[in-house]
Amino acid sequence: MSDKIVVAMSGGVDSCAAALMLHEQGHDIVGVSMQVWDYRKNGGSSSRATCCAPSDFDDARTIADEAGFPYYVFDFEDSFREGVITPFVNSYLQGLTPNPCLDCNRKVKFKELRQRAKALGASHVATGHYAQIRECADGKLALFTSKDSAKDQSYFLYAMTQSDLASTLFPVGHLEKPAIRQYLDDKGFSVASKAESQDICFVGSTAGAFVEKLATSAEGSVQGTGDILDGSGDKLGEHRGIHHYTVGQRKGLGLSNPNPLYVLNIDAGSNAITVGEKGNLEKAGFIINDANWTSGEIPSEMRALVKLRYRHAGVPCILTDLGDGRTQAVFCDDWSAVSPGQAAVFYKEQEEDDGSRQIFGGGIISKEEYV
Amino acid sequence: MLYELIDISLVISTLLDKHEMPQGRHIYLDANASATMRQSVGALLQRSANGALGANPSSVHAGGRKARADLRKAREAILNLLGAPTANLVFTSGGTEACNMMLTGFLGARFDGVHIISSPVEHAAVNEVLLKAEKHGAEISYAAIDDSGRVNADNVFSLLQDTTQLVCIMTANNETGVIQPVVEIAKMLREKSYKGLIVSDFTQAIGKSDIQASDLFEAGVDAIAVSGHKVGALSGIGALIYQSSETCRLFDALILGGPQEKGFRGGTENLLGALSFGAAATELQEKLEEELISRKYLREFFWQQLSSSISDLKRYGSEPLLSNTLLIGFSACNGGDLVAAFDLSGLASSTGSACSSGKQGVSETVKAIEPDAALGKEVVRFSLDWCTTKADIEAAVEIIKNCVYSVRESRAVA
Repeated sequence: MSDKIVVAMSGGVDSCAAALMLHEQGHDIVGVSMQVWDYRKNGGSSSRATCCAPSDFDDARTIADEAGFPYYVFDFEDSFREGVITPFVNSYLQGLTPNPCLDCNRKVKFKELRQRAKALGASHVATGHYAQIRECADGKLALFTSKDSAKDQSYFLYAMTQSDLASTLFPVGHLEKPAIRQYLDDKGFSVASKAESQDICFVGSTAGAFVEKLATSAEGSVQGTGDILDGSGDKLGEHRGIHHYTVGQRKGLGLSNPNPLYVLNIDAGSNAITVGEKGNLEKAGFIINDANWTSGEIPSEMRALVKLRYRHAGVPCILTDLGDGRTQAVFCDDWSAVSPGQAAVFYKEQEEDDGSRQIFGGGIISKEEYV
Repeated sequence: MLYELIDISLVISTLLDKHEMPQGRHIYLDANASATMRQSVGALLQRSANGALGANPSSVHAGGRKARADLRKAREAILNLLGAPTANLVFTSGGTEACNMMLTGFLGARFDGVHIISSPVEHAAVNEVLLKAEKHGAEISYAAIDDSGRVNADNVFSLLQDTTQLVCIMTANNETGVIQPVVEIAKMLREKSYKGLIVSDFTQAIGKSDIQASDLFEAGVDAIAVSGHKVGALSGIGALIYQSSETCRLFDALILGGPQEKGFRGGTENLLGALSFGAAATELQEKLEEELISRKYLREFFWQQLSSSISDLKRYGSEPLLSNTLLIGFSACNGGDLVAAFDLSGLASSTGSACSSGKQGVSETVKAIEPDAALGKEVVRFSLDWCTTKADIEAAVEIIKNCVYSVRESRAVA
C-alpha cells in the first residue's frame, strides 16, 4: 500500500472512527465529506436523524483538526441527484421499489471517492462500512460480512469488483459498534455518543411525500389516485397514488379482507395496483440482470444463501447463469416474496470460523418472472 | 502594580499546539480572503505584550488619555492612506459590520417603501442585508453586469426611481478582482440630481488599487466600508468612513451601548485592532505604489507562466482590475478538487468567497460571470499577497501544473 488514503467521513461514529484509526496506524490520510444534499435549498430541518446537515460535518472536521490531517467537503450534489435522487423518484413513478443506498454506493459514493483519490494522489479509499475484505487461498480478494452481524452492510457492497476490493479499506469492519464508540469516547470525542442515522439519508418524512415534492421537477409526474385490483382484475378500492406503495407492502391499503392483503404488482401504465394474499406474493424464484460477482467469474450453477432485502435473514437458493448477463435464482425451500427493483445478494451458506460470511455478488431483481 | 508570573509561552502553545501548519513550503495566494500580517503589526503586538498599550480610551486617567491619543493617530493614518483626512471614521468589528452599518444606519433602519439599487456580485455582507431589507418592505433592483461582472453607469441610472434612497455598488470584487466604475456612477447620479445615499464596499480596493476614498467622496459617495485584515492588520477590526452630510443626523446605530465613536458604534474600542489597522495603513502609505506595481507584474507573470504551460485555461475579468487577483477556469477540472490538491502540496487558493458554507460550491459571483454552470465549477481564484515573491509564483506554477494533470487524469472517462 502506498502513501495516501482518502477516507469518506459522514460525521457519523463509524467513519470518524475509521479515519482516526487509519491516522493512528500511521497512514497519510485525507478526510473527505460528501455534501450530497443541501438542506437549506430543500427546506429540510437539520434534525440529527438524517445526514448532510452542517453540524454533521463539524464532527468530522473536529476529528480531522484534532488529529491533524487535512479535511475537505466536496460538493457531490449533481452526481447524487443524477445517480440517486432521480432514479429514486422515477422508480416510484414506475411502480418499482428503489434502494437508494445501493445506488449511492454503486454509482456515487465509491465512484466519486475513487476519482478524488486519483486526483489527490491517493492509492486507496476507506469508509466506515461494516464489512471485511480478505485475501483467499487462491489469491483473490473477497468481501465478507462484518464482525458485528447486526450492523453488517455487505448487502450494499455486492457490486464491488476485484479492482475495487484491492483499493478499498474498511477499518471498522472487524469491530463491534460498542467498541467503536468506546474508542472515540476514550479519546474524548463527543461524536462517540452520536445517534445513528436511520433510513434513507435524504428523506425527511416518508418516501411517498418526498417523491410527490420532487416529481414535479423529475421526468414524468405524480399520477393521482387509481384502482386497487384483485388478481382477477376486480376493483377492491382506491389507492392514493402509486408512489406511496411498494411491492410486498401490507399496511396502508385501506382494504378489509379476512386475510392480510399485500401489494403484488404496481402498473404505472394503467395506474393500478394489484393486491393478493401472501401466497400470491411469493415466488419460486426470480431473475436478475447484470449480476456482479466479486470474484470476477460468473458461476454456472451453485448453491447460495440469498438476501432479498437489507434486513432479510437470507434463504438458500440455486443460482444458474442464463447467459446474456442474466442469472436465475430458485429457492430451495419455501417460496419467498420478491420485489422487482430491489437487490438480491448472494452469500456463501457456510459461515467462516469467526462467524463472518463471504459475499459472492448480487444483482437487481428483474420484473421478468421466473417460470 | 503586582504582576503574576505566568508562562505566556505555555498558554499560547496550549492554544496553538495542535494546529500547526504541515511541514514543507507554504505558498499563500489567498490574500483576498485574508492578508499576511504586516511587519509593523507584528512589532505593535510585541510592544503591546510589553505593556505599551493604553487602557480604555473612554477613561479619564492617563491610561485612557494615552489610548485615546493612539486611537486618534490610527484613525488619521487610515484616512490619510485613503486620501480623505477630513472624512469621519468609525471603528467597527470588521468589514461586515461596516457594510451592515452603511446599509442600515443611514436609512435609520427603515426599509418599507424604499427602493435600493445594487449589483448581483456584492459580498454576502451586503447581499444578506439587502435580502433582509426586502423582507421588511424594500424593493431591490440589481444592475446588469457584463461578462466580466462589471456594472455600468448608464444601467445603474436607468434603474433610478423616485423612491430610490440607496445605491450600493462595491468598489472592487473579491472574487474576480474587477473594479467597478463607482466614481462614474456617483458622478452621473449626482448630476442627475439624485439626492439619496450612495455607499460602497471598499474592503478589497484598499491596498490593491490606487483608488482613493477621496475620489469616491468627491464624486458624491456618502460612505464606504473597509476591513483591517485585508491589508495585513489584525482581523476583528474594520471601519465605516463617511463624509459629513445631512443624512448622518438620522444614523441608526447597530451596536448600542456607550457613546463611543460619536454614538455611531457603542462598546469599548478594539484598541489593539485599531492600532494594528493604523500601523498597517502607515506602512502601506509608504509602500502602496511599489506594491501595486510589483503585484501586478507578478500576477501577469503568473498568468503568462500558467497559460504557456497548461492547456485550456480561461481567464476571467477585464481591466481595470485589482493588482493581485487572478480568476481562472481550468478545463476538465473541478475547482474544489484543485483547491484541495493545491492545499496538499502547500499552495493556498480558493474557489470563491471564503465566507461560503465550507463546501466547495460555485459562488453567486462566479455564477453571474460564467453562465455555463459546468464551467463555473472549474474556477479557482488566486490572490497574491503583499509579500508574495517571484520564487513563490514559480513554485506555485509547478504545483499547479502537476495537480491539474492529476485532476484531469482522474476525471478522464475510463
